[in-house]
Amino acid sequence: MILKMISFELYKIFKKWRTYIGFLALSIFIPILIYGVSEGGNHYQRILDRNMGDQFLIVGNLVNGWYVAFITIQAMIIHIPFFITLVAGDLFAGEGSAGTYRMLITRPIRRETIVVAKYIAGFIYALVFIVFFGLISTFPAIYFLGTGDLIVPLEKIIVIPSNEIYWRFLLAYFSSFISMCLVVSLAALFSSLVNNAIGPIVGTMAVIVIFLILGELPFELFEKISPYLFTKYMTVWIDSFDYPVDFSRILKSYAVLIGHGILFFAITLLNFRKKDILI
Amino acid sequence: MKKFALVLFAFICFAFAQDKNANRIIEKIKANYDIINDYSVEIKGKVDFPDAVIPELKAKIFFKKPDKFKVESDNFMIIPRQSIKFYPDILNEKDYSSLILGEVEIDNLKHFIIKLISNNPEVEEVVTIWVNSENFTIRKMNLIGSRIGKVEIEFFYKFFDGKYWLPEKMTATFEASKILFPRMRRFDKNQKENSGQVQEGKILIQYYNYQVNRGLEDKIFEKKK
Repeated sequence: MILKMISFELYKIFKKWRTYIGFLALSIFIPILIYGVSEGGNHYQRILDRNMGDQFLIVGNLVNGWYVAFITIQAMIIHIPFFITLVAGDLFAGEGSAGTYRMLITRPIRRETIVVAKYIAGFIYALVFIVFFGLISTFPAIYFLGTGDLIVPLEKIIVIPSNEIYWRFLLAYFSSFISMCLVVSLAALFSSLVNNAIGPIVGTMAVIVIFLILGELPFELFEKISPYLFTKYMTVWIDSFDYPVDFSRILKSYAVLIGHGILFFAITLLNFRKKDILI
Repeated sequence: MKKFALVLFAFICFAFAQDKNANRIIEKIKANYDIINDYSVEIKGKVDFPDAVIPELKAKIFFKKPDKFKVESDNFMIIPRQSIKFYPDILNEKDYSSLILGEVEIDNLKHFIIKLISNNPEVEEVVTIWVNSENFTIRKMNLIGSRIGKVEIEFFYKFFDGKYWLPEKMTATFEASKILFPRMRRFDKNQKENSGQVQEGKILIQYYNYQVNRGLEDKIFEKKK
């Protein structure tokens, strides 16, 4: 029964045009980015050359396909959660706005099964989206800009040798998937509370943006609360590009994200079990 | 008055002699490299840079007189330009002043300390070299400029093919704060704690398999489109 329910939910998800907004946006944005990087030249390399002065030489193709893939993966912080929320926010609220709650719940299916199926369908959508995102942001970029070492210019400058890049990106995309599952859970929770998808979409994004801002503010109070905000752990994919990779930190982030996901799922379940469909 | 003229004459003679001596040493340094028309060498090395993790350097260098060079590497690398030419660029210029600052013992060998200053007012770099008094190789090089800060390079030589003094190891120490890597995150909470500190970076290069004067073709140095 659960598999059938999941397939119904997936059918409903992929039947709506809004599901494809994210795919379309990436299909437009990434070729533009690749074109911009290839035409704009090695802006990064030029800055480096200038900063190095006349005494040092920079060797190697720094602005390559992997670098573009690394730029695009930054979208995991805000943009990708938005595309995920567009679909996840509609998981329950869509039934409300379409008036199909009664039809769905009066059938001989346990309410728990409906919630589980909707969550799993949401996770599958997130997985499909991340796989698409990973493929479109790496393969075309590598084809047009070539490969080489990856320079990770964050607080610490890390140059990742080309032979280590594959598994690091795979780990980063997997970590992104875990983060996006949390986004699905939060959006689905909000979605189960209302009958219109706009509220859950805006609400989820508001929570993510506000938590991200609070977590980054350089004041003692916010630095103290920062470890308790789940958004701090949503950027777990960055840890894949650390040197050496701190797997215990990654696992801790996974635990926090999954823990929050389970909490949001449990609240959704409790709420949905008591949901009055006669109003 | 006579005494003053004598002292002035002695000073001018001394300065002139200094300049002449420095020039003679520089000519001997150049003579070491004049016999090298081209070379290729494999290098391995590492970069110690504060707040940066850079993998092991691995490359092949091709050099041909007067100034053609190519560094063949699949990896990202930062190397000092002197790791290819082994002497400061100022020695290629015609208009510079040189002065012997003194002598010092390094590894139980007498070394001349020579200061090189370009006469071009736009070049603000000051170069000091420590020259081995026996084989006239540059053992140490110190470059100071407002943009690059202080860069210190040390060479360790070996006598190859019974003819050429070429470095088998090189270390470069530099002010890491002068080298700014562009970063994606503009705000770093920890940055304030590090500001004001002079952090040093270090590059170590080892040279293997020199092939000297084998007649490298010009096409090797052509850039791929």
